[in-house]
Amino acid sequence: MRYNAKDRRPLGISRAAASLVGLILTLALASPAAAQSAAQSATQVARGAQLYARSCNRCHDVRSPMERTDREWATIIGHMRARANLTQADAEAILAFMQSTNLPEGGGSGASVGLTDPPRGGSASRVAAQEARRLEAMRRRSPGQLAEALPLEWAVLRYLASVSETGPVPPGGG
Amino acid sequence: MKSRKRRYCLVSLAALVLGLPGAALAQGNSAQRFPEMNFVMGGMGAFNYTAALQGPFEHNFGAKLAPIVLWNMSSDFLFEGHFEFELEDGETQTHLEYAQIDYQGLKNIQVVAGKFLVPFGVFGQRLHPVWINRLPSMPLLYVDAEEVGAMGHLLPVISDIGVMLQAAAPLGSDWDLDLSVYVTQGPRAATGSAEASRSPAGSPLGRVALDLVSPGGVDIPNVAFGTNFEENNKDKMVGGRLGFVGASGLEFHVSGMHAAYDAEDQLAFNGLDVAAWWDHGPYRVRGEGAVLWQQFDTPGGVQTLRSPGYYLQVSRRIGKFEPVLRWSHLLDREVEGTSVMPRVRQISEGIDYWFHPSVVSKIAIEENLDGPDRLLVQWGFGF
Repeated sequence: MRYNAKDRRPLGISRAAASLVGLILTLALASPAAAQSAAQSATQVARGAQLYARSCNRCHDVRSPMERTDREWATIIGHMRARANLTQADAEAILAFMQSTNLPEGGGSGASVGLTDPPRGGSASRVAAQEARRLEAMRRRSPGQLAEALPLEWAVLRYLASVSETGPVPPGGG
Repeated sequence: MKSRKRRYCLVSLAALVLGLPGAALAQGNSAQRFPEMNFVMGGMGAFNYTAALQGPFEHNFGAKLAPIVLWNMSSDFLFEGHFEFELEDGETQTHLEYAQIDYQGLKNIQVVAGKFLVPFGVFGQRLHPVWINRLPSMPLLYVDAEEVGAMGHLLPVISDIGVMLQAAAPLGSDWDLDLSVYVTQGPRAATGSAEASRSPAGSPLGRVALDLVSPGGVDIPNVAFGTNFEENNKDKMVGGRLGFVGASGLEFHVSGMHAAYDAEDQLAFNGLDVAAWWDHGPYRVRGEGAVLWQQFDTPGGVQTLRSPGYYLQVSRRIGKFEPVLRWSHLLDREVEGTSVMPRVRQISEGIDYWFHPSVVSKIAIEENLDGPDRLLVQWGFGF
């Protein structure tokens, strides 16, 4: 079949397809229990991404996961659960997303690790800088674009990266 | 009969506060009780500048710091405290906005006890913080600490002491249910001039009415919320809010409340509020309307003050800028069909610049169609 330029897919779809392939490979290589756990966590993170874009954005602009540590987010999401009247499952999904997209070391305060001021030096820092650029790009999108773009294009990719490095993240763990 | 009803209510209330957390803890997660405690500090700060654009030139600065402390006692229990420190008239005023314990061990229900933001309407509970509110001032429906002397506000941001049950559940794939019911100490008549103008904590939060006189020449009492630390009557305020939150960005909320505010439990204070939101791409549309009914005694019998009002706000995000337009309208306040306070109308036109999702600079012109215009500048910071 002759290659037709019109058949080229947008970058976001390619990433989504790559994510799905990665997800399948990851699940196939892992043990059944770990695979099930990873699938559940990936689903929760993807759902958390959608809720993050939708629920948090109702009242205020979304805050970067890197502003706080994973442990701090666990408490802050409880506060937001009470304020926004979220179900336990929704709050846990948003927390899973925040923690899975935080810096590997668990993030820091917004004052020292801002969106436009990523840490310098080392490969981990390059990943952090990449994440910071992604977050900045995400922040510039409208809430509608954000909700459409986040689940596969960004959250699952990030989650898969964390799975390949450290194994599945336990729900609520940080 | 009345005694049996009261006993039933008290037992139900006790079951609500004690039973649900106890039952959930007994269901086998005792190993997770208090696994790790966590203390987090957040909050907000603001700098304000206000200048009169008509009449004698008057302008003033203001500043506010409002720290929030969160203490996660376990995955099920959370303590939240919110204080406000504000510079006003050469003094630092303090105010406790909320101090509540949340039980979050259930899937769809939360139990809140303490002093909390009452879910009457939506703006007061969710939108009034400076880094969330799109304009430097509140809509005329509400009054804030900076708005001393604001024209004709209708409601305080109500913070009161009691118990609240919050429930949330999906309604199909596109809508969520958002339900809150509460019992609180409720309002009281603010009799003295000092109490009528501000709460004991020094903040005007809690004041509802202005100095109004009925057509028969009777002073209509002011009503204060959140000041009933020693209850002045047996009646409690009961109320609730029912909301439908759509995945499309649409949401609707209806709130109601009922209380008696006099020492004899005879004079009612009732409220009804309807709010609607629509988020569509960069656009945010907010609308809310409320009607309050306040009974008061006259030599000829009990009469009712009716106070309606509403606001509509539209904003559009353009990069880091966000222009905002708001129309606020308090209709005539009437006693038995006779106006005791004429309507108040206001157009607010502002533009925000967002340095960060929680750091904003706002400038707005407030056109008061029934009074002098104002220039408002605010820097808000959420942390």
